[in-house]
This record gives sequence, C-alpha cells and structure tokens, in this order.
Amino acid sequence: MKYLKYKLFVLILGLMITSCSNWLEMNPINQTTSEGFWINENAAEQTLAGAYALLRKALLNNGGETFLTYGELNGTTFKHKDQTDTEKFVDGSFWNPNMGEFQWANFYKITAQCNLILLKAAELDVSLFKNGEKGKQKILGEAYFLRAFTYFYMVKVWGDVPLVITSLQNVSEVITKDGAVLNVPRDPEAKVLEQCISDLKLAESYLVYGTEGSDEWAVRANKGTVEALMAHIYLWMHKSAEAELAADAVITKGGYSLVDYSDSLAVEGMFTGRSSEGILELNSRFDQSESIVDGITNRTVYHPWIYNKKEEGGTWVVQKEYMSSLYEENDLRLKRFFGFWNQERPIILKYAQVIYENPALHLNPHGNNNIILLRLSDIILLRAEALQNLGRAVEATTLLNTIRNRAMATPFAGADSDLKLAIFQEREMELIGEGHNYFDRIRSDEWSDISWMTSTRKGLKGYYWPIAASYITNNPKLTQQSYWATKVW
Amino acid sequence: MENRCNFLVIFLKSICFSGFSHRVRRKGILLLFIVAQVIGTSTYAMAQQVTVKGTVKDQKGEPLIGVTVQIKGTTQGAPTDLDGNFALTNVPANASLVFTYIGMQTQTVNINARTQINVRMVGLTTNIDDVVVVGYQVIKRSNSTASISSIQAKDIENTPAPSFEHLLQGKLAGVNIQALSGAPGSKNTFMIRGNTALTTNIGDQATAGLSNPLYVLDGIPTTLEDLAGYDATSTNFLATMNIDDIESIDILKDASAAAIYGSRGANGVVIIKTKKGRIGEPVFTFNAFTGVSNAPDLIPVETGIAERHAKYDLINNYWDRSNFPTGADNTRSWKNNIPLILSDSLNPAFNNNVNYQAMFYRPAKIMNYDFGVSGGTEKTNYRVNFGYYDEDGIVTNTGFKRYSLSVNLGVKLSDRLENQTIIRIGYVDRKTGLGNSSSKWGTFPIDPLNMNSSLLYLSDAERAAFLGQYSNLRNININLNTSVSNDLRFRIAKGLYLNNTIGVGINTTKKDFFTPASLNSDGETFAEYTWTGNKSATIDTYLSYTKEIGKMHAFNALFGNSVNYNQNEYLQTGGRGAASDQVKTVTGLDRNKMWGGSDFSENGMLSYWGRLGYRLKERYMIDLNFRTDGSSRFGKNSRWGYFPAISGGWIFSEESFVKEHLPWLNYGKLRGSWGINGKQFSGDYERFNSYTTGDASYGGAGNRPVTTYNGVKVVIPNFSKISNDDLSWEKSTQWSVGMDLELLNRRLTMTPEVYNRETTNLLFNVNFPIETGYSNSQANVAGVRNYGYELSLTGYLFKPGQDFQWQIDFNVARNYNQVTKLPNGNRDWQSNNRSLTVGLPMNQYFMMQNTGKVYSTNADIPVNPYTGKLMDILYNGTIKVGTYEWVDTNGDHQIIKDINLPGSDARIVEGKDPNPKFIGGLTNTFTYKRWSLRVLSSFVAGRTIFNATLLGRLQNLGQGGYDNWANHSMPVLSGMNYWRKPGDVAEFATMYPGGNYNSMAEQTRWLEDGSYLKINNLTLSYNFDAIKLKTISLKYLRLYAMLDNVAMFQKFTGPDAERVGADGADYGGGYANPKKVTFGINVKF
Repeated sequence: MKYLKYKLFVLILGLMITSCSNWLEMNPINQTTSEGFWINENAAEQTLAGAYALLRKALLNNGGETFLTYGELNGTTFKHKDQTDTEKFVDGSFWNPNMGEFQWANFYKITAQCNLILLKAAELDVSLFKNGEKGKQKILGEAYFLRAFTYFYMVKVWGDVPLVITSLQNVSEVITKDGAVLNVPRDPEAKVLEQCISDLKLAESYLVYGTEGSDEWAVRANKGTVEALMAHIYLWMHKSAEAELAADAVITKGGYSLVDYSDSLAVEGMFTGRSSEGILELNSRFDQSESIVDGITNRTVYHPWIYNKKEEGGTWVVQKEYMSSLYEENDLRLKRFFGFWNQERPIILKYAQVIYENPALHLNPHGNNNIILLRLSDIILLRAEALQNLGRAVEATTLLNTIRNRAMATPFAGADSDLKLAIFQEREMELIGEGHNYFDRIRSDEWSDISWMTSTRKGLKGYYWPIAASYITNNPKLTQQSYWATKVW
Repeated sequence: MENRCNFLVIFLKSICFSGFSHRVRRKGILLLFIVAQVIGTSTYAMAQQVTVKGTVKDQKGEPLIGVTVQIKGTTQGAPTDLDGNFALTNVPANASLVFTYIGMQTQTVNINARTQINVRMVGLTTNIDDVVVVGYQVIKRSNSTASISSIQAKDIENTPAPSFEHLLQGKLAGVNIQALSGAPGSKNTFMIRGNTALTTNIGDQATAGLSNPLYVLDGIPTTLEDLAGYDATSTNFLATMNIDDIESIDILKDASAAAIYGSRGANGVVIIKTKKGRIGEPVFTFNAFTGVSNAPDLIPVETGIAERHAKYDLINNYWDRSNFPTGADNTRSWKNNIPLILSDSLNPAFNNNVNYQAMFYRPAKIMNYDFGVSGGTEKTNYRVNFGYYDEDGIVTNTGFKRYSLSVNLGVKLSDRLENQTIIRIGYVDRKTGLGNSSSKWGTFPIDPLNMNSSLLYLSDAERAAFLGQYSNLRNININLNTSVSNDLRFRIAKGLYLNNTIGVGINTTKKDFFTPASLNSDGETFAEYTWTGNKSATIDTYLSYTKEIGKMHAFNALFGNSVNYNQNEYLQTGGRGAASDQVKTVTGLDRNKMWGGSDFSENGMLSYWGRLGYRLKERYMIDLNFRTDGSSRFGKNSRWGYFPAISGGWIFSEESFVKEHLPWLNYGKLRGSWGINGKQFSGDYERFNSYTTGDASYGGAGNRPVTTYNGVKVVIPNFSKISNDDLSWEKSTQWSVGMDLELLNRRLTMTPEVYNRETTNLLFNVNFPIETGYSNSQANVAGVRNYGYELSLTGYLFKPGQDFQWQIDFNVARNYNQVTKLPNGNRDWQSNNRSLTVGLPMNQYFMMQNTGKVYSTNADIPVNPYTGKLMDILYNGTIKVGTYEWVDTNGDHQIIKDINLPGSDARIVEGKDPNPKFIGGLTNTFTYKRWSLRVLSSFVAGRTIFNATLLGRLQNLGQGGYDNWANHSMPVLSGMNYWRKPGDVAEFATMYPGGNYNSMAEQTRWLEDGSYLKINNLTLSYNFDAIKLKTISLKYLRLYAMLDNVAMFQKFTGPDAERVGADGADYGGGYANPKKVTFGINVKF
C-alpha cells in the first residue's frame, strides 16, 4: 500500500506525455483563411466585391487618376500643369524607368482575384446560392468579365503581357523546393485577347441584362456590359463585323438610353453615376462611404466647385487650343462639361459633384462621382466606327449624328472619306476626361496631332508604355518593349 | 478530433488562463508559510551513534562558512558554521565525507574511524571539476563532449546594467554581444558563432537582421521569435530578470549540446539557472550599488556667429560664379537672396551659442538594491530575494526601473521524491523619451543628425516636450513578467528517475501614450493604449537513468517528452481629438476619430527527445542526442522535424603514454560533435492562405478607410503571403572539434575549437512573379554558412597561495560568414546598398565606387567619346567639378547609380562587409590579499562599417530648400578638406548648399574600418576578513568601485564603432552608451 500513491503519481505524470498530433492543428481566429472561408454565397459576393475594389484601386491609383494617365494624358485632350514628371508623359518622352505607372502589379491583383473566384466559387455547391445555378453563374460571369476587362486594359497599355489564368494556392506552384522561381514571359497580345473573348463568351452566357435603377445598375457587370467590352475588344482586334454585332446588341437589348443633354441636372446626374446611359462605372459614392477624397475631383476642379481651393501645380487642364478647334460654339457639351471655357485654362466638370462633410463650413470636400468606364454614347460611336470600317457609311453617319444631335451640334454631312476622322473627333469631344483618347488613337492609328509619334516609333509599337525596369531585373523572362529597350533613358 | 487531446489542452490552457491567478496566490501563501517554518526550525534532530567533528579552512587558513559536508552516498550532511566547524552524527565508521563549496575543489575524505577531521579546501584553478548544465541534465564538465561556455554568478553580479549580457561582452569565445543602444533596458545583440539571420529588409529596428539564441530560464525555453510581434515596449526581455538571481549561465554552442532543443537550438542555447538555498542556517544577503552615468560627447556643430559666418562663407564661395567656369547652378542664385535668418545679424539665435544638444542629456543616477534570505535543511531549501534596480538614462526622460521578486523553494518529500519550485516576478517601468521606443533613433525628439541649428522655430510647448518634461505628455512602458516552474523528481529505482518540469510564463507589456493637442500637427490630442500578453506553458516529462558497471563502464540514458504551448494577445485602442488636454486616456472621443483592435494567436509544439551516453573508464565517451519536434506553425507536409546529434570525447591525458611523455599536461580532452538543429520563425499562421477583409482602399480615397465596393464588404487575399504546405524550420548542420587542455600544474588552461555550421532552408522573403498578383512570400529557400575557430585561454601568472595573483582570461574567435544559397537560381539580392551574394558574406556592401578623389578641375572630368560631352550622370546632366570621382565600372561613359537599370555602375565592394571577422576579449584580474582589480576588455576586428553619422551630418548640410538649409545645424567643416574652387585637391566634395551627390548614401566614401578595442569595465574591490567581521556579526563584506564603458579605441571617425547594426551602419545619432561609475557593497549576515 505504501507505494500505491507513488504508482498513482507516476501514472499521472505518464498522462502528461501525449501523443496526439491534433495538438498541432491550431487554426487562426484572427484572420480569414482559404481553408475556412469558402462556405457560402457570401464568400463569393465579398471576393467579387474585392475584385471590383481592386479594379477601382488600379485605375484610381496614385493621386486617383491612373485611368486618365494611361488613357488620356498622352493624347491631345489634356495636360497636366507644371509638373515635370507628368509633362514627360504628355510629350511622350516619359521620365525614368521606375515610375509607378510602368508597374502593372495592381492589375495582376485583379486577375489573381478573378482567378481565385473562378477556382473557389466554382467549387461551391449550387444549393448554397439563393438563386441556385443562376446565382452561381452570375458570380462566375462577372469574374470572367473582370478578368477580360483587366487583361484588355493591360493590352491597351502595354501590348504583350503575361497571361496567367490559374489561381495561385501554394508557394510550391511558383517556387520550387530548391528555390527556383517559375517566372513567365510576356504573351502575344493576340493570345491575351483571344482569352478575353473566350472569357467574355462564357460571361455573356452566364449573365442577363440589367434593370435600370437596380442596386447593381452600371456598377456591376451584366450581359450588356459584357457585350460592350466585347465590342471594344473586337474593334481593337480589327474584327469590325463582330464588334458591330456586339455593339448593336448593347444598344438594342441592353436597356440603356441616352441622357438628355439639354437638362443640366441630368448631365450632372450622369456623372454622379448609375444613369440610364451608364454601362460600367467604378462605384465611388459618398452615401456608401466610398467617395473620392483626394482623387480625380481634386485633380480637375477648384473654386468655386471646391470651396476656396486654388488652381495649383497638380491641376489638370484641358488642352484648349486643340479642343476648341473641334467644338462648335453652341455645342451643349461646352456648357455641360467645362468650367472656365472662355479662359485660358478650362477645366472639366465631369468629376465636380462635390459634397462637404460639413456643408455649413464647406469642410472636407468629397467627390461624389462614379468613374465612368463604359457608357452608351461610347458604344454608339464605337458601332459607328465599326460600321464605317465595314463600309456602311450611312448607318455610321446616323449613329454619329445621334450623338451630335443630342449635343445640339450640326449633324455631320461630310464626305465618307471624312467620316472616320469625324467619328474619332466626336469621341474626343464626347468622352473627354473619361480616359479613352490615347487608346482610341492606338486603335484607329490616328496620330496626326501627336508630334512625337514618329513612324519609327510607331513601327516599334512605341505607343505602348514601358515596363518597369525593376520588373525586368526580377524576372529575366520579361522583355522590355522594343521601342523602350533601345532608348537611352 | 479534439477529444484525444482534451486532457492536455485543458490542462495547459487552464494553466494559462483563469486558474493561474488562483494557483499563484495559493502557492504564494503556502510558500511564505513554509519559508517561515523553515527559518524557525533549521535542523532536524537525529539519533546519535558516532559523531565526527572538524573544521574547514581555506588555503590561507581562514574558516569557511557554509561548506557542505555530506556522507558519501547518502543525503545526510551538514554545513559548516561561522567558525568553519561542522559536526555530523550517526556516521558509519568506514564512510567518506564529501566537502563541497562553491569556487573550491570538492574533496572526499575517508573517515577511517576518526572523530576529528580538519580539511583545507583549495580554490579552483580549473573549471574541469565544475558542473555544466546541458539540456535537462547537469553533468561534470570533464564528462561533457559538447562545446559549452559557462559563466558563474560572480562574473556578472553587480552589473550596472539592467541585463546580464552586458557583462558577458568579450568573455565568451564566439559570442558576439554588442550594445546597440545605451538606452537602459534596450535590446543587445546576442549572436553565437556568426549570424544566420538572412533578411531582405534590415529595417529600422536596431536588432533586426541578427540571429538570436534560445533562452532556457529555469527550464522554460523562450525565444525572441516566440515573443516577437507582440511587444508594446521594445524592452529587452532579459532585462526583466534580476541579475542577482542568476546562479549560472551555460551557453551551448555546438550541435550536440543544442540538439536536445531541436527546432529552436540552431543559433545556440543559453541556459540560465537561478540560485537556490543551501543547507545551513539562514543567510541574509544585501547588495547595493549606486553611481552615475555621464552624458556623452555631443555631435560637433557650428554655433552662434561661427555658424553664421560658415554659412555665409559657403554661400559666398559657391555662388560666386567666377569660380565656376561651367556647371554652377545659375537658376537660383541665393547670393542675392540671403535668407533672413542669416542676414539678421541681431538675431541672438545666430550670434550666441545655441547648441541645445546638451539639453537632451544629463548626468544620471543608477541605484540597485538586492535583499534576500536563503538557507536550508536536509529536507528543504529556500531562497527569497527582492531586487530593485533604477537607472536613469542620460537622455532626459528616459530610464529604467525594475522591481523583482524571486522565490525558490525545494522540498524533499521523501527519500524518493523531491520538488523544487521557482517563482519569479519582474516588473519593469521604462521611460523612452518622446518617441517610438523601438526605432533606433526614436528616443530623441529631434534626430540629432538632422536638427535645426536652434530651437527658435519651436513653440514653447514643443520645446518643453522635446525635453521630455512636458507635464501633459504621457509615455509609460510597463513589462510584467511572471514565471513559475516546478521541478519534480521521483526515484523509481537506483539510478532511475522520473522527472517532471512544468514551466509557465506570463509576459505582458503595456504602452500608454498621450501627446497634447499643442504637440500634434493636426492640433488634436493623441492617445493610444497598447497591451500585449504572452503566455506560455511547457511540460517536460522524462526518465533518466545512470548505471555504472564496475569502474569500467558508465551508461547514461535520458528519454522524454515535451509539450509546449504559446499564446499571444494584443489589444490596442487609440484616438484623437479629446475635448481637453486633461483627458489622457481614450475616452469620450468622436467615434470616427478612434481606432483599435485586438489580436490573438497561438502555437503548440510536441516533442520527443533523448540522450544516450556511454563512458569507458571515464576516458572514452560517446553521446547520442536526438529530438523530434512537431509544430503547429509548419506546413502540413513538414510538420515534424528530426534533429540528431552525435558527439564523442577522449581524455587522452589519462593514457599512460601521454602521462609518460607529456608530464606538463595535466589534463587533455579531445572532443568532437556533429548534429542538426533547427530554428523556428515567429509567425504563428504563416502556413495559411489568409484573406484580408475590408480593404477596399484606393489612391483617390485619400487616407480615409474604404471597406466596401457598392456597399459589399470586400475580401481579398493577403498578397504578401501565400499558403505553404512545405513551410518549415531553418535547418543547421554543424560539426565542431575542440580540445580542453590544462597545462603547467593547471596554471594554464586552453580550449581551441573549430566549427562549421551550414544553415539551410532559411526563410527568405522571395519576390514573386508579379503576374501571380502576389508581391512576395516567405519560403525556406536560402542558406548561410558560418565556419571558424575559437580559442579561450586562462592563465595564472603566479603560483597559487601567493599574496599577489594575476589571472588572464583571453578569447578570440574568427568567424567566416558566407551566403550559400539564394532563391531564383542564386540570384543576388540587392537592397539598401547591401547585397546578398552566394559565396560572399551577408550584407556585402553594394554601391557606387569612389576612387577617393574629387574632380579638381573641369579638365579632370572624363569626356564621353560618343557625344563629346562631359560624362553623364543619369538624370542629372553631366558631372560637375568638385564632386566625387566614381568609377565607371562598366566603361559605358556614363554614371548610373540606379541598380535596376542596365548599365548601373553600382558594384559589390569586394572584401568589405559589415560582419565582424574577429571578436574576442581579454580579462585581467589582479588580486593582492584582499584587494582585487578586474579589467574587462573586448575587441572586434576586420569589420567594415558605414559612417551613417558623417553622411547624416553632410546630408543635413545639403538639405534642399533654401530656408531649410539656413535653419539646419551645421557640421564643423573646419577640419575637413573639402573642394571649394577649381584646382583644389580635396578629400571631400563640394559643400554646395543646394544638395547634390556629395551626400548620396550609395557610395563607398562612407565606408570605414570598424575595428575597435574597448575597455568595458574596471572593478576594484576589497573583501573584508571574515574573522574580524564575526565580531560585528557579519559573515561577508565586500566593497567595490566600478567603472563601466571605460574607454574605446577605434579607427572609426564616427562616434561609436560598437553601435553598428547588422547592415554595418553606425547609430551615431542614436542613444550613446554612457560611461558609468558605481560604488557598491555586498553583505551577508
């Protein structure tokens, strides 16, 4: 008996020796991880919202104007006042090879997010979705759309870009055990665009047309959005017939209608967002706490639109000399789109819907403007361009004049040979400040007003943006754009 | 799934959570009770049979108090009394007595039926008979096959610093300890046998990029990785421990010793044991010291009218355009537009000496008191010690206070069962000045390298706050560390023991910070409160067995299991815009001006380990160690790691042929080891693919957080971390061969040693292909090798027994550091002008190469033969006269410094890296009778460092902007040969006030030899005669005076070659290491 207590004691000590390996399964409670996240429709909705947010981040980067830097700063519509760095964009010489604008990381975050959704949401059971199969297809369709939109945008900026359509889930997929990094080279533009088209075809079959006034109108993709993008991509690929069909579908079935330019409030409403004309907008509304604080609004307008703000070095102004040569004097758009038109430095008012946190004291201004990426008049003019390419000048002129009539401008009645330029210029006038001009130039090979675009440069596709030097250092498979590779910085 | 573990989980968690406080309280009361009892009844009555009496004296014939006298093979024994007398009853006539006393050689005396035995004990001239602590065991040093450096309490006591490692500097071969900051309680480096911390970003943290060992405090293993990331105060973890509580420190340097700590032992193991009570009547100890630290030398600046003249001189010189045939800045001629501050000759700020640096500094006091009682009987031992340490920093409003309590209680429950409980509590209150305590510059309100020349531009409030005396400022940093360890030993059979150790540590840190509205640029109050808690529990259960067969064979076996659980919590809340400066907490604020959050993470480890040892004739020895660790931190494909080690030893001095031929060799052991260790990383959930919720921010939204898109909360991946199923420990394979030698009647001992440590699978932040969306992620893909040799020598220049003694301890270590593997096909990694390159040491300098010359005239500037123009400096036009000459390394006739560009001229600076090649130390101890003088010095040689101080000062001068330049403080240029006009052959480039490449960081101009010799410490002490002390009822009395940080000999032209981080940049603008003078007393009664 004497030793019994010792035996018991040894037994208890023995119990402390454990052999259970579950002890090592400790899961975090301070973060969401891939292992516990994908359990319901909400996960799909939130990651999809993440993809849109990443798109917003990529296009409203830096001071919130990347979409204009890429899309318009190298064109003829805009200029950035007194800023050495960006003047170098305007004059086409660029600055140094490590500018943030030369980096595409933000865009690949969007595609990575889409790839993730297309992998993980696809694995979710249909029964988890409120609307069953339809609900799931809606998520996937939008993800396909966003991936295509992003790749197409990158193609417009850089031409050939690496195409990655699988979702990275583990380090070992990129870094081998002995530390080799599996880098990828740039893929030809055509291959990337083919992928975009095949994504969009899936998206088109998964999505339905939208309803004006719904929560998601214009700020989320629907079938009309998909077809609008298709029209853009086809035309970029010089497939005018396909482009025309897609644009026609948007116009006739998408449920969109043109805003009345004679009503100034309606125009302001269009730029606030979700108008009958909006096809794709980046949501940035004040009432949803997503508004612009120091972005494009601050960049483009000042007092009286932003109380007591002065014009300063960072303010973007319209290239008046060029733009005033396009507009007729009684064009409604002069009144609706511009401030100080009669002065030396006009500004655009497309982002001037300012709301103050403290309205009484005019404190803390916010720009309550959605950023319009696609809208009906863009698609109408795009269809006109496609028709013109196809030799259907009459139909093209009708469409062109739809837009001109709305602006109270004289209908186009020129020769067929002038039609192409007229459509191009109409897009400049209609879409100024919406980030289209430079891409329109590349698409339609229209460089007559750009002195720095020499034929040599054009031949080397020198209209594409350089790739950040640090990317090339990091990834030996990446090659610099041929024009920029030979250029001494 | 969970139920199999429930017992353990509940047990461990119950220790960590609520149950703990009750336990502590109950145990505390119990302890006090037992201590009181023990003091009251110090001896047990025993049945009398035969009595042995005697006296124990030392070599000088003075009685030794408290020598343990024990009957061999039993636990029966008694201590000697105040006169050195002992009496043992009930002693078998044929027994032997064992006399043990710290610092003396143990003696065994056969009784041979005598009743009176007098013993004279001899001081240790050797450490061979010492014991060393290896993992889970204490063994005789002569029996050890591993490479272990040891430090005893007497070597570190009375350190005028908050943590013990301060005095280890230069004392241990191969251990690099550097004080990177003089701020009391800040972290020091503690690197054993070279650096393995390969990092892509050395960053602002002074201790970043330096590897750290595993600390085992009374059996509780802790790494800085365990504690990392959850630390509000940045206080040195080791500083929470009272140095007076430390009995011994053993540093396991090689793989065989550290293998038993498996996945955490790769960078060495530091085992710290605290003091226990010894058998004997209660001994009260009182230690006290007090002293002052002196303010450092100030950074030289021009002041008053001299500054004004110097600035005028520069303006006149550089804007007198006749001096510049070409290349002068003619667009902004300042000469005709002198800043008002300079032209206003009546301005007192520019006429009088307004060098206000001294206002930051002060002479500061240091105080330390330790008071304790210890003692014991055959059945119990106890020690209770209270400590108070208070050091004011030399920078105003900095300082360190520690209150510590340790209770150590052993009870022998029966002849089979023993229990030892140790409780330690350390409370640290640290003042860190104005700034962020973790930054290397953070203590100062104004960066001393980049300051205004006067305080003219500051508001009264700012000025007051800069001095840290602003009554409304609040910056409180508290660390409260509590640890309890309980060690239970049960004898199952002869030689076979079952052991159980439970260690629980609770470490909390707190920062309570407030700045009033007037100090903040937005004009609002700022308050932030951060709390972190780390709880850990370790249970070790193990069997140990020793068996001797005759005199020939001795076996030793150990097998155990270890369960470890760590938990970290974090809580922060902050806000701005209180209605009044009076409100210093986060209270009553606008909801959108508040922030906060909490965090929780945990990790668990499960391990099995063992050791098998065999000794043949106490001469040939072999040990096998192994450990296997499973950790929750690692990827599912590499959850378990295996860490074997083998070591052997041969005491060749026991061989007859050695005895015959080498009579001067008293002892010689050859030993060697090979093994594998690991090191964990700090993140608990690195292996997971984590998503970020609510990050919908975008450039145009300003600083306002946006969390939704179209009202839907967004979820995106964490793009700098991806799941990794193979994520694993860093692995070190190390061999080591060494000798322990004692020569010339043991008056010279030496330990030469060579080692090679290959660290592979190092965690490295790999740049991801951008096309994946991810920017980077951690992976085990890099490698580093450290190899080298070490030598320790101890010599006694005079024969033992003489009045004058001179002991010399010297050690030196040479470490070769080499990067062996990098990701992406071993591609170089360059950042911050440092390069990681396979085959070269870590953090090799990578920068523009200066020729050492300055372009004297325009004719000296090379011409680009393609263009016919002067050579280009990219983006900045052509090279100007008066600038440094750079080597056009690739011969393309232009100078390109951007390392990303093709044609970049930055290159690896061959043979120059920030890693110390030689480190070592020399300690001289002189004793004359009762006087003793110890001089401790340390040195570093073969290190190239980057003079960030000089650079910072010159950058300050070149600071762009016109008024800025006029306001900024001015380095003293008078001793500097700088270029003023064409034709000057100068050492420094033009001091052109507009700013140019002269103060560009990425050039070799700033590299200097970082070797130094430092006299760390000088201690003079006097030990009073114990017999005389008896008349005043004292047992021991020692008085001493100490000088700390005595002198520094360096080639480096900056302030301090020691305060240099892993990247080689000096911290001259940081917190200087103060010189200290202290006086102290040690009393026992």
